[in-house]
Amino acid sequence: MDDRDLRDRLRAADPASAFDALDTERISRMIERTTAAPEPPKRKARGWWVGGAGLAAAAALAVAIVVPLTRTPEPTRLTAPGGDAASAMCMAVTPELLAERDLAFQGTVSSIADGLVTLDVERVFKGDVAPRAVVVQQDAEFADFSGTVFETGATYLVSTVGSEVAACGQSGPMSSELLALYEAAYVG
Amino acid sequence: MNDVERRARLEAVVREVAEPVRRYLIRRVGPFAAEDVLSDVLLACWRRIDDIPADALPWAYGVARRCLANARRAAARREQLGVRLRALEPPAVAFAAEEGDDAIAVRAALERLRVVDAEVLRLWAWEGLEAADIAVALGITPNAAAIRLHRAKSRLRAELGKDRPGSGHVEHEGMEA
Repeated sequence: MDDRDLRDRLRAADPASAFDALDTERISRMIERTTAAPEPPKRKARGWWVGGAGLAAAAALAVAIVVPLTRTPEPTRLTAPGGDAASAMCMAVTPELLAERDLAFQGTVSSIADGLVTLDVERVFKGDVAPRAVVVQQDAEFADFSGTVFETGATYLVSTVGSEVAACGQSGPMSSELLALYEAAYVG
Repeated sequence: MNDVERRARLEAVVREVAEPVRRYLIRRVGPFAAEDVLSDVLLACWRRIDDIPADALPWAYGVARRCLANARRAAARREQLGVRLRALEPPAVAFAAEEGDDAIAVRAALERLRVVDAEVLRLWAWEGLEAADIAVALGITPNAAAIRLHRAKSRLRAELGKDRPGSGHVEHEGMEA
């Protein structure tokens, strides 16, 4: 069975094949209904600031704060938690552990400037994640223990505890192993 | 874009994506829930009108995937509260008036695959996407999409092979030009 045969068989099993197409009148109504919603924000009030630096020693997670990104000259920023990396202990990363995280996404670093890492979010596994995330770059010393030092152009899997990026291997560079854990945790 | 341009862009996007995204949703949650989620998808398009790429459809499938996940989570929460509103499971049966045994066997084989394999095959065959656009819809790299698609096809072939005696599908081996 070649690709064409396989595709034909799948298409013959398409559960939507019996439905008529939307007529132009219905599409016009959809447009009216959609645009009746509040005006979309004009390139502001979207995205997240993910900032901060530090590790909650007891939990051994937690390095950043997520607050709404408002791309105004004075964005709202929250204070980062402090922490003592040297006393951190990490638990094994499992799908069950990841499933407890509040946000989880895949993103590629588009820029790093002034200690802020901007990621273009490519895939959301869990939670309401905006198209862009901004993370405070970690100290290399700190990352040696449990965190991640982001690099431009690289792709990362990021999960958070509340508004804080989860460390200890729960966030990190894209790899087939970590992706498999994320998919097991969030995709099923 | 000014407001007039945004409205015009939204109209163009809706005319392009509403029908295929509606079918995408029908295939995954049935026709009734599909209507609700389609409204969410179009609203998300409106809110992100400045971000929509020139090739809007694969991107819109990605939005639909996330809206569907949100709807499923909301349904799960309602269910935990003992409130069952509208089923959000994939349709158990096709809606075609007449359907052969092979279509039933193919969908059953699809259901037996891993979720990620089945989804990449649906995008390929039902949404008609190639690997590059599957990557956009799933938010993965084109390379990962190509590998995933290739493996999924092999796994589906293997599953269908198990069904062959009762599938009603006849292979015409040796008859291809």
